[in-house]
Parts: sequence; C-alpha cells; structure tokens
Amino acid sequence: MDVRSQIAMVFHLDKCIGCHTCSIACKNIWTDRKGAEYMWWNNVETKPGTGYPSKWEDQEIYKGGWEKRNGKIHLKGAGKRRGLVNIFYNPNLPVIDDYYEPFTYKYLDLIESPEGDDQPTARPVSLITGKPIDIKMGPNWDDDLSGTPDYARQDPNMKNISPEEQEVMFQLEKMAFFYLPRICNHCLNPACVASCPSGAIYKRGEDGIVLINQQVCRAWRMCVTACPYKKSYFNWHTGKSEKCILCYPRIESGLAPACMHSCVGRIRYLGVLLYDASRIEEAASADEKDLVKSQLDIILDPFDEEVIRSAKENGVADSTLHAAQASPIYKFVKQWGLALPLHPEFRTLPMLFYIPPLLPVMATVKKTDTSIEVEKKTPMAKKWNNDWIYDTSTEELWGKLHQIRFPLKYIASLFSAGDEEVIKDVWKKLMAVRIHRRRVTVGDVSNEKAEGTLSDAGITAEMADAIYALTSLPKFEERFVIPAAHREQAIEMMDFTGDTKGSAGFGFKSAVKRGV
Amino acid sequence: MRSFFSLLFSTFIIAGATLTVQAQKSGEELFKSDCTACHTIGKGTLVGPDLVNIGDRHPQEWLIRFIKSSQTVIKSGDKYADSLFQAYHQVPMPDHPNLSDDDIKGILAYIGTKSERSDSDAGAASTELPEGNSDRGKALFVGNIRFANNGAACNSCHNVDIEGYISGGALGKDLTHSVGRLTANGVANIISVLPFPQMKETYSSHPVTPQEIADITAFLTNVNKQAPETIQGNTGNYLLIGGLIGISVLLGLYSFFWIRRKKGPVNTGIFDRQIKSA
Repeated sequence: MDVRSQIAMVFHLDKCIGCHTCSIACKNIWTDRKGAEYMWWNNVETKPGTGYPSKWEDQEIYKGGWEKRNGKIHLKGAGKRRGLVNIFYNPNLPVIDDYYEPFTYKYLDLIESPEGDDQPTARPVSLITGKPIDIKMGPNWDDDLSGTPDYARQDPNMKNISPEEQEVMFQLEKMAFFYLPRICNHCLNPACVASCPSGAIYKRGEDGIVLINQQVCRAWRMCVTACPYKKSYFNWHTGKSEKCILCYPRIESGLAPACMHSCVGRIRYLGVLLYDASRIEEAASADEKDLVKSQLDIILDPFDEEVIRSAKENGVADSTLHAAQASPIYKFVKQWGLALPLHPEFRTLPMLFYIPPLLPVMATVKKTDTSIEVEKKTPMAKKWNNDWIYDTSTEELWGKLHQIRFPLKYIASLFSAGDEEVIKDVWKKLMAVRIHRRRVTVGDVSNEKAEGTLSDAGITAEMADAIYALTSLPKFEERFVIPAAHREQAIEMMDFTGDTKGSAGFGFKSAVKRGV
Repeated sequence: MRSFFSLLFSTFIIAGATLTVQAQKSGEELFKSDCTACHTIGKGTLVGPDLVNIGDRHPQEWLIRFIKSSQTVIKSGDKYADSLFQAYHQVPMPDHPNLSDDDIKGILAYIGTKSERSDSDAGAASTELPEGNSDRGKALFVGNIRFANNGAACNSCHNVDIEGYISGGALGKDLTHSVGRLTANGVANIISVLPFPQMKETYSSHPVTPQEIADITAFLTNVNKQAPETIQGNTGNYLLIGGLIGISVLLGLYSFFWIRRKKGPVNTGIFDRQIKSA
C-alpha cells in the first residue's frame, strides 16, 4: 500500500443555478491576461449541449484520454511513439474556433464619436487580432438552451439514445437541461502529465494538484490533445500551456479556491482523500463497466488503522489525516456513494466528483411519427393508454426512476461510462433523502413509504439526515476542509533549502528583484 | 542652412577636381591602365578582341557607347554587339562610367596612332613570360609557397575545382575554367595589369613577379584541361522546378500520413450559416 493524499472535489449538480460566478471569479484572478483571454479554467456548460470547446467529449475528434489496447492502457492521441511522430505537427489539436475567438467592444466609440444622426455603436473587436470581427460564438453560446439543433442535439452523449428518447428530452418547450460546471479534475492518472514530451507537467506529491511548469514547457501542446476534458490550454502570447492550478496559493494559505469560494449555489465541496497509489494503473485498466467501482476502490478509509500507519510512513502529516477524516468528499464519494466521476471511460481517474442531477420534471409525451406538431398544439392532457413512451405525471409527488425526464442512459453516459445501475443507485438515494425529509418537515408522506424508499436505497434515516445537512445546510468549514499545506516539507522533498537560506528567504530559487 | 550650402559647394569642388585630374590623363595612360588587361593593339586576341584599326571598323559614336557600358548596347538589341559578346566567350566587358567622351576619344586617337606603327609595343602581352611550372603554380595558388613580394595567396578569394583540393574563397570568380574563357595570355595579363579594383588594391603594393605569373597561368591551364566541364549557363530553372516537385511530393506525403487529422473547427457548418457583416 502506497498511501498518498489528494485534494478532491465534489460538485452537487442539483444545486447549480448556472450563474457563472465561478467562471468570472476564476477569469478575474487567473486568465485576464493577453493570450489567455479565451481560456476558461472554470466553465459552466448547459447539458445537453456541445460544451466548451465544442464537442470536447467526442474523443474521435480530439483523441484525448487513455484507451485500453490488449489489456494495457495507452494514450489515445499522444504517448511516446505517436507523440514523437507528431511532435512537429499535432494533428488533433482544437483550433481557436473550437473554443471561440475572444472579443471585446470598442466602448470608447460610444463616448468619443462625433455628433451624428445615429446612435454610436461599440463594434466588437477581436482580442487576438485587434480588428473588428463578427462574433461567431462564445464559451457558453448555448447557455440555457436545450434542444437546439446546433448545440444540444449535437451532444456527443446522445450517441446511444434513440431518436424517440431524444424527442422526449427536448419536449416541454425545450426547457429541460442542467448545468455542468467543469474545472481541471486533477486526475490520479493524468493523461496530460503522461503526454508531455518536456516533462513540464507534474502532479504535486503532497496534495495531488496537477501543474505545468512554465519554465520547462516547450509548447509541444501534447497536453492539449491528451487531456480528454480539454482543460489544458495553449497561451498563444507566452507560447506556453496553462491550466487550472486549483488556486494552490489560496489552498496553501487555507483558503478555498476562488471558484468554490464564490459559488452562489454552494454546490462545491473540497477536501482530502487518501488513495493507494500502487493500484492506480490497475484501477485505470479495469473493464469499462467496472471503472467507477475500481476508481472508488483505491480511495482508502482514513479511519482505518492500517491506512493511517502507511500514510504516516509516506510522510502524510497528521493535520492532513485529520482533514481526510473530516473530508466532505470522503462522505459523498465513499460513505454515501452519491458522487461519481465525470466520464470515467477516459480512464484518467478524475478527482472531481459530481452528484448527478435528479431533474424531476413532470411531462407526458406520446410516441408519434408524423403528428408531433399536431400533438404540440393540443393541451398537455393525460390520456391513459399504452402508447405513451414517456409519462412522469404521477399521483404522488415523486414518480418512479424510469419516469425521470432525462433518460438514465444520458446521465449514465456522462457519469458512469454507460452503466445505468450506478446512476439508479445514486438517484434512489437522492430520492429517498427527499421523501424522508418530506416526512420530517411536512409530514404528508407515510412512515411506511419513507422507510420503504430508504431501505430500498440502502441508507438509514440518520444517513439521510446527514446527507440532507451537508447538502442543504453546510457551513463554510464543512464544505471546505483544507489541510495545512506543509509546503516547507514539500519543498524539502525536491530541493535542499539550505542553498537559499540566508539569501532570499525560503521558497524562492531566484533572487528577488528589488528597486524600480 | 549655411553649412549645407558650404557642404554642397565643397562637394562640387572635390568632384570637379577629380574630373579635372581624369581629363588631364592622356589617351596613352588611360589605355594602359584601363584597357591592356584584355586588349592589344596589333598583338592578337587576349580576353577581348585586338583593337588594331578599331576606328576604321566602327563609328566613333558607337564605340563611345560600347566602352561606357557594353552590356547596355548588347541588351538594346544590337546584333553585332551581341555576336561580339558570344564570340568572346560571354565575358562581359566592364563598364567605364569614369571615362568621359573626351577621354574615350583620346584613347581611340591613341589606338589610331599606334595602329599605324608596325612596331607597336602597346599591350602588356608584349612582355614575354618565362616557362611556367604548373606544380609551383599550384603551390602558389593554394598558399603553400609564399609570393616573392608577400602578396596574398590566390585561394584567399578564388576557387578552382580540382581533385584533392577542398575549396578556395568565394569572393572572386571561380577560376577553374578561366583559361578556357580568357586564354592563357589573358589570364597572365590580368594578373600583371590588375584591371579589377579589388585585385589592384591587393597586389599593387605586392606585385607578382613574371615567373610567378607564368607558374600560375601554367597551373590554371592544367586545371582547365583536367577539370570536368561544368554546366554553363543558367541552372536557376532546374532548381526552381526541382524545388516545386520536391515540395509537392512532400506535401502529398504529409497529407497522406496525416489524412485523418482534424480539419478545421468542429462548428464549421454553424459558422458558415451565420450572417457576416461584410
């Protein structure tokens, strides 16, 4: 057992209101620079939709992540041989139009234009060329749009969903959707690190944050291809690649990352997980249907004596162990089994987990071939016959799982590599918590029914209360359990601090520039 | 402003003085300094034709134009000038912008008087050279033996294409086929008279002795015999066509090997439908 600590995250999608405050917080701090305008280290996507960059989930286009060949995992679009062959010409790179061409407006024209017959307008200008442009798209161009032919229906997750089921998803004024906020997953098996020809990308030993060394980066851009989440970006101005740094300067001083700190819906949780580093390859090489389980298996119980002992042998600090025991992530991911990794089939073992949205929207849709338009004009009236392929109008407040508006298959293709049972388990628990709390607070649900759903989901009433408390009423310190960084020890693993002692202080390798 | 005018004025003074000095040179002096490297009067062909009785063969006006800039006359479509150029191995006669019409008339007059005398001594070719030693010439050319007056070795600026010799300089002309182009006498003449400014600068204070000239000329004559015929004329087109073929072959290979590359943005279809402002 090789126990290491990892800063992991949980995003509760049922709580996300899609306000983009996280994106703006991140942009203001980190990517409001020349060459970085188009980067959104944190972005919020509307699902179903093609996301940012467009169709990032379709690895037939971008060749990101790992794939299993002959029982071993290999990088899909990079790696030693392919990386060397393509080193001077990487054939799968996203282009700026896959993200969007960043723009601003000539606001001064509004103020400085001479008097005329018409109102002055502020023309959009490209932030790359500085010339006037036609804005083609933006990082969240399909925001709040569901069912658009250009974006929502091009969602790569629709591949296995039948046309009828798709039609169902896009009924009801095309308003069913949910938000998917994304940052770098700081994976346990990061494809970007594996792909870098310069060795510029590394995963920090003490907290597992994945960083790009700007001094070493040689702009081969293999990480841009390799990251299946497209969270490594190339800065065209500095000629280096950049990515989310999980606000490590904030984490080191005990603050939550900016996106999490600013989150209006309080959907984000951050804490320590302990994992067994010796089983990473094994976990990443599991069969596709076992991937979620194998990933959760290498996350260790921070209360286990054996785990604590070998963690201490590896130099994990006591404060980190305490943080791991209080970690909200451990509760959501392991104790309650509510949070799942995004696209586990990319085999990078992402350390950002999502609680899938329940989306309990009620609607009825009839399977029709030619009369869809006719049906839409009739009032949404319930007709009890066997032609209905989709009907969530129930006698009770909550219906059955198979009646949930979004097909299980769609959510499963996002969070469990297509395994619907995993999603079903999570949804049962989420539903049971709601029914249980309805019994407690409103009292219009019978004890019998509440107990039934709880036992069906495999959780106890106490557990349901704890889930409710951490979901709806968490304090700041409960959402973010950040261990002391112990940066000084971490530095000593790499460098001899005596070299810089007495010159420019600890922590700096080069002398500080002083004066004007 | 005042200083500008005084500058302008002094420029005129200096230019005028130079012209005056030029004009004061006699036709004989000018002929010996500017012409004898390539031409003789009644002593036969060197690099260029024998100029005996040149005044009888061509009108003076044509001669003045040709001497000032032979290439201009050839390019203007003058058939006879072109045939001359071809007949003398396409060695262009250098332009003489420093010679005024009067200077040229003086030279022509000198040629005229010389042509009448049978015992003409014009032209450096009249100096009989001793027997040359090719091996010694080679040693002098590559700098293994020093010139008697410490002149620079030929290979500082010139190259010859022979076996066992790596390369000489590229500042001056390649001399592999110099004897073929200019005849042995012509080459010897050039070394002794030094008609080219750079050579004059280099060797006027370190003159090459007649024996050395003979040795080098013998060496260059040998080189001319032994060296393979190089392709004469313009090879630029071959290079261009070969390059274009090479590029298209490479591009073809690239597009074959990377045929499954990502071509353009994934939203091209959407962008194409969008309304553009211009």
